[in-house]
Amino acid sequence: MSPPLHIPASKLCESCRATRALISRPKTNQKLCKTCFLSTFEAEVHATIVSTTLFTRGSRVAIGASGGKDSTVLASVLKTLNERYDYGVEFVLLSIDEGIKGYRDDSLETVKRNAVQYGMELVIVSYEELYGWSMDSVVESIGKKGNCTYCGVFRRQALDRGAERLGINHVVTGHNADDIAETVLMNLLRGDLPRLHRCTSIITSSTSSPIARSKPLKYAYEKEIVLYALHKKLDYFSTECIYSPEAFRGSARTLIKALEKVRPSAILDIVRSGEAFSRMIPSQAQASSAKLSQESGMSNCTRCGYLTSQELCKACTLLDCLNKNRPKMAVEVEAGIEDEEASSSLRRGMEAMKLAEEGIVN
Amino acid sequence: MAEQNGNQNGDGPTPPPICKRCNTNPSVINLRSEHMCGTCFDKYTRSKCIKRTETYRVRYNPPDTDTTPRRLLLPLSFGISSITLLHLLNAQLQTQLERTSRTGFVLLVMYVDESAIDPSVPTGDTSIRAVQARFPDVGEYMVAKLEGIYEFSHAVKSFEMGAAATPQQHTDWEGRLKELIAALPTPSSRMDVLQILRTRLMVELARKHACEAVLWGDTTTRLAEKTLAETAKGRGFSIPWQTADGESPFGVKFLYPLRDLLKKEVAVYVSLDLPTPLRPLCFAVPQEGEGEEGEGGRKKYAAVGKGITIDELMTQYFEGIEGQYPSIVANVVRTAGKLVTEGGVVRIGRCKICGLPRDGGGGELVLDAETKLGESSNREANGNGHGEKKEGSDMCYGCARSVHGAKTYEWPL
Repeated sequence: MSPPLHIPASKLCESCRATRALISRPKTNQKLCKTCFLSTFEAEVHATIVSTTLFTRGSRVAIGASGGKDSTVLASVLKTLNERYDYGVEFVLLSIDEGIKGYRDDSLETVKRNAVQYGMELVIVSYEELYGWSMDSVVESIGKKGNCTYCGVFRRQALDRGAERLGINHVVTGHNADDIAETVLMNLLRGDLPRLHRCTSIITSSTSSPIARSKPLKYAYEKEIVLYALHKKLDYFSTECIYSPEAFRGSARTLIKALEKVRPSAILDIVRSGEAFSRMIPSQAQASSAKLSQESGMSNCTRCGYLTSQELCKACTLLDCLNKNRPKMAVEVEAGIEDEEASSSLRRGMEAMKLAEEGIVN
Repeated sequence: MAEQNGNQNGDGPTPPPICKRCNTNPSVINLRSEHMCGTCFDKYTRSKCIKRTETYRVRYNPPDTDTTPRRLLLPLSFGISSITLLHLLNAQLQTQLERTSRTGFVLLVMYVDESAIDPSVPTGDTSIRAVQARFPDVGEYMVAKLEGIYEFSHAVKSFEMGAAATPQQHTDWEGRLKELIAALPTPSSRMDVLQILRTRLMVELARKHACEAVLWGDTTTRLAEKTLAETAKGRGFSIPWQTADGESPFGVKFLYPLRDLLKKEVAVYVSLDLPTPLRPLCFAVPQEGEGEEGEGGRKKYAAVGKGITIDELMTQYFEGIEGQYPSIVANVVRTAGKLVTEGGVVRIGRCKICGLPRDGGGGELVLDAETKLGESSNREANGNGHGEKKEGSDMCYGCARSVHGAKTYEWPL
């Protein structure tokens, strides 16, 4: 190592005190050098995994990989930690091809490269093969409005079917602290107690799916994920879905970003509040709809065999609509559908009501 | 008034619609899609408040029970909400007197003089006399100085720990308060801590003056703001204690009689002729222009970017929501109302800052209750350095976040 060349103490990495600080951590404003930032980020994900005993030795776990920054960082960090701490877990990449030209086809190329870079098996499940409809053809049929409902329902089932195909019962996703904080606020805004109860859980398994989902990045800031990807020179795809432009610029998201600017710890603080809420919801309100369906008994969809509380599962119901070439049926998302996906309709509904951006954001 | 109306449905230049309730007078407000005239809106507003203060009807009890009117403390900020609340309670008292020649309660109206920390804020003496002249029969009126909180150190310690502590000697409370506020790191922290001090002062004054409850002026909108703001400050665990009607952990009841009214409705209400509008009594609110209803005598947020506080951000956010999605505002409050505090009031110990039962938060940024941040991030992340871990351990997580990075300070309680 080269001798420190008169780096003023104020410019030194606050962790190792040996090299010049290059990064101001978005979470804490701590000034760190690149190496210390990367290792701190990894240490926090590791701490999350260990404290929740997320993985068991010898298991196979699928990483829901879209080629975007979150899932790419997740795959990279999990590979690093698996080797460093010897988790003894076999990670597999699982991608969904929604069939969106100019978006998903490009991002899937990224995932294919990631599979080679990380030495992980990759399985791609497409809407086309599962449902006979690509999102391109769905949008052609029903228009852009409301297409996210179809995509959300289809994706959930596709992930489950992909995992099933791999003989895997645990899928990790790249949801980060910003996503979770946003979901906590959204669930408060719409008064959804069952979702408020479970949206901060690191791992969720529900009666409507045999596959457990978990979020190892639940305490990782979006900004730090971007920094990690940047400094690790990770190969990721950064275009937003062409059918939901600004899907992530709903009012709750804007609020989170404004709060982060005022107090960087706010995102983590909201997650913490969300974890407290989860323990503060009376048991009868924790699972209203899910419990109802449990009482009436989950059964298999008479058409495709997927678990459902109805005769037909949500995907088959939507497919019926599509196949009859009817305009979009008003569908409220069923209990158990993943929070982030389900919250998108309200999120979009509230988009109109953005914060006076010039007033709050800068 | 008219602008509240016109904006709602884009009525344009057409004459105002007729009140849906009486079918005679012109509407002054479109109340959640029902047009109402001034008289009917007044009735509506009164009924909302009466419903929430039913406990304080005139008591007709057997002779062996106490039927003296209960003493209630009403913090007055000269904002639109607390003035409205005072007016509504005055009306309630008048009705009780007319019907029974007795009253079920008597008020202690209290203004907190914060001129120690903001010299531009009036001391309140003239304002409170004006209000007293308008509502002379509700009870007593008082002005308390915020720095008076130092008087209560002894009382607080004995309430919370049952321990005897030496009473504070009277030494420059104003200077100490200024030092405390100046030691706090950010505008958000200062606003947060000031709010805590106001609340705790009211609690202590309520105890001192034998009031059994504090009647807060918070509207639905304000309660929703508070719910989201406290969530953002990491105080989710204590939201029921800060928003629910009933026994508070301080041994004094908290009531929010305006919890069923939106802020924008109250803003219309203060301009109604009742027969005289309340608006001129709202000294904390700029009298011209609409929508300037800063709560608690605070200045309206003019600051942008980093100067804005978490509380102001939420106020701004709900101003937008209230206009277009009033049901969401009510949703938030209803949801908060369904949360139950863990383990009730008695547990682990009290937070030395906010005085509420602690959540075992500690002073560090933690991932969750057990897992700390990565090793290296703990060491120097905070300005206060090494003593922090111990210092934070007698606080709740939210307060620890708020005073994180503060210079040395002395806590009054």
